[in-house]
Amino acid sequence: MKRIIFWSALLALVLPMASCKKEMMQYSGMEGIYFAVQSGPSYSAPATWPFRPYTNIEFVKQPASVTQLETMIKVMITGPVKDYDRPFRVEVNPDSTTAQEGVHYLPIQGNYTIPANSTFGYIPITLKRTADMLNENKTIGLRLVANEHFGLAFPKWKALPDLANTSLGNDTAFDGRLHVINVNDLMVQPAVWRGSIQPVNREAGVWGAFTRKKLTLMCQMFNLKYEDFSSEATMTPVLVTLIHQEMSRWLIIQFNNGTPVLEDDGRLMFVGSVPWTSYIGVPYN
Amino acid sequence: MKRLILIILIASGSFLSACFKDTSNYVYQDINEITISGIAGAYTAVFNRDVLHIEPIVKMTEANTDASRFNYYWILVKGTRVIDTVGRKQVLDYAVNVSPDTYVLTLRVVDNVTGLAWKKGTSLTVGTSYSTGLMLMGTAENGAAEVEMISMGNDTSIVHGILASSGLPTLYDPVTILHTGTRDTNSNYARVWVMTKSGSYYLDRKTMTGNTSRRFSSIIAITENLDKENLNPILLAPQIRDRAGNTGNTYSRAMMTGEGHIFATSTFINGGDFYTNPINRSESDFNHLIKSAPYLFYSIGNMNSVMWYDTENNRFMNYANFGLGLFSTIPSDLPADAFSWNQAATGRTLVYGENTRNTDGGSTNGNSFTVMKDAANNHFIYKFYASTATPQKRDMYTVLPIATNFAQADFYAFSSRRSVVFYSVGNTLYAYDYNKGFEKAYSFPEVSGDEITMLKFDTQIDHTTNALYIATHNPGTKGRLRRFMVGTDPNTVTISPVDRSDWNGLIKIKDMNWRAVN
Repeated sequence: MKRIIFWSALLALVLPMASCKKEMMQYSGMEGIYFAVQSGPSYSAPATWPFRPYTNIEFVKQPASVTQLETMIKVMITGPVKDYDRPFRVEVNPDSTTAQEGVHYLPIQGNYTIPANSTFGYIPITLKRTADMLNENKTIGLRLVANEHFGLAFPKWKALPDLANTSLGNDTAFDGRLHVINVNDLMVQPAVWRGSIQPVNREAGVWGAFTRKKLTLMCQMFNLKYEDFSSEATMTPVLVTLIHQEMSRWLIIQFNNGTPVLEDDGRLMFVGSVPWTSYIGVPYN
Repeated sequence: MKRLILIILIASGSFLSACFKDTSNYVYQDINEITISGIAGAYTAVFNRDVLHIEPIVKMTEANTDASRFNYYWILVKGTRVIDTVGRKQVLDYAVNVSPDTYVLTLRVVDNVTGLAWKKGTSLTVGTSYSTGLMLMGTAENGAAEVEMISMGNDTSIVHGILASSGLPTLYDPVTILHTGTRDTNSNYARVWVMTKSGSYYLDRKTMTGNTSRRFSSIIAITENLDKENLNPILLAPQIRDRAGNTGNTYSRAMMTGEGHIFATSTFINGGDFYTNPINRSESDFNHLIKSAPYLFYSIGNMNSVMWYDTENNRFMNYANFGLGLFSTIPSDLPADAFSWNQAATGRTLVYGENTRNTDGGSTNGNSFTVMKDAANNHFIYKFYASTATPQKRDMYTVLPIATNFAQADFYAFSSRRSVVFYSVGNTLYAYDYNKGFEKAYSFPEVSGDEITMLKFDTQIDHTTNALYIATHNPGTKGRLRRFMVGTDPNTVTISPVDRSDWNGLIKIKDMNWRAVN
């Protein structure tokens, strides 16, 4: 009995000492690799952007002189960093690829490295601007391949629900082994477009509905670039007025000269104060 | 044994405190403590005029003769942003040149021996001499354009040399200085324009400083093939119409450049004071810009349209669609009209034009007047209501030969309250009552003597008083500005000087405009 008391007292003496020492739990698990491409809105910090299974390359946002563009696809690793370079392998996934090698992108050499003492690396992909991208989106699917250095981490990636909740979409749950590059030259409606479509398909506002033909014409007439429509700093209200005024006048002159400017569907091009009404899909005759 | 166990247990408890480190220092000593007094709770100063002088009392607990032991910093802070260190001595003498606003001014005394800083704060409100008063544009003694202001804040004072210290290059051929009106704090809506034929610039409204990038070219978006960089406005509509600084239209504006081009805008549509292509053209000949005479006609009380005079075809044109219209229209005549908008057939040309608050014929917001002349040098006065898309003609008067030297006049000024036009030739002031059948001519030797450099009726501060401003100049006493009241007796024209409205030692005044807001 006395011995029990003695030993328990001794334990009570020794055990608190151990409480002064702290130790972190080490990572234990696969040494793996996964796609770590982040994207998000410009108002938030890039570090807070969610991981995405795709990269969008829009040639329309580049000057016309840009015919080829290199994008860097980021990958990250799980497991400890090493003090030597480690190779990893990636290949094109034919299931999710519509782009042609050599036409829409330069051949992918397949072997890349995670540098020594780094937790991440990049896959450089060179994309080419082609005429067929004006009307069609091309995709390049990428697939990581396991080797002796890395397994494949996160086949079921899912973003933490509390992290940047508001900007998360469905695409934040995906397979971390796969990645898709969307590349196109489609002219989408820019951030600043002062026009709208009213029921039923009637063009309204100072610029009417967005069309590539109309925007290209604006760029020609007013010596603008697609990028100028990307913010109010470059597309100022007074410039909006000028485009509205001068383009309406020009369209009316063309109409009166018997050379009306038509959209692709045959309707009269509409800008603000022209005297006609244009309906999308209804040709002028 | 039990006692031993008890001791061990108690001891084990005391071991726990070993985890706590004592880093305290128990050696205390007195240091030099500083208290700052003699600084008031708040100071006010006028920007670019006052020198802020503060003599604080700095008391220390230890006697000290080594001045180098202490550093003094007078630090000016706006919110959380440090603006500047405005003094590095104990006594502050600061020529206030910080943008007018309210600041916190802190004296920080650093004791270099102890490394401690002691501070005391106060608030500093920097006002401006420029908020209210008469802005004068004219010529300085060196021949350059210069701006002065008769500042009418709490007390009246004259600010000299505004343009010389504005940071702008030396300008010549002064035209005017004006405030666009509106109380908006956004610099894209309200501007102060310095207009000269050698260049027009808009200034920072608080500090009245400028730089060469603040040209008209920076606020226009045009496709017209014009020399954009050299467009210099000489005229703006609408003018200030009351003491509080309001104008006849908050959103509509028109500006004319020295070449006679007219730019019109709706600040509401265009997101501020920005302009597109000029409107001095007709629809039928759209690609030809017509040279306008340097006048814009509109009703001061409410500007809903603006008329201008086509010097190529000798006709009046109208523009009533601010922000949307791309061209001006040719107003139509009625058979019974006193005159035609198109003067080509009469052979008359425009000599002078002015907007007033004359309400003859029901022109609530003010008639406009022009002086016309024909090839035989006969002069005529046209009175019309430049309002809406259908402006109205009110009357036409033939100037009789009794109006001495009317044709030679340097300046004209139409009264808003009476059928009287004042004019000057050299140093002589005349008046002519154009009331049909009762025409009379007057001259005023009492104001003559010095060269008259400006005649202007007050339509900007209080148009009901019929006050006439006369600027004169002589090389000895320099520029002089006086305010006179025009008598109300309809049988005669008299003017009487207004008490305390005589300012001397000014520039050679070319034009003046009222300013009531910053």
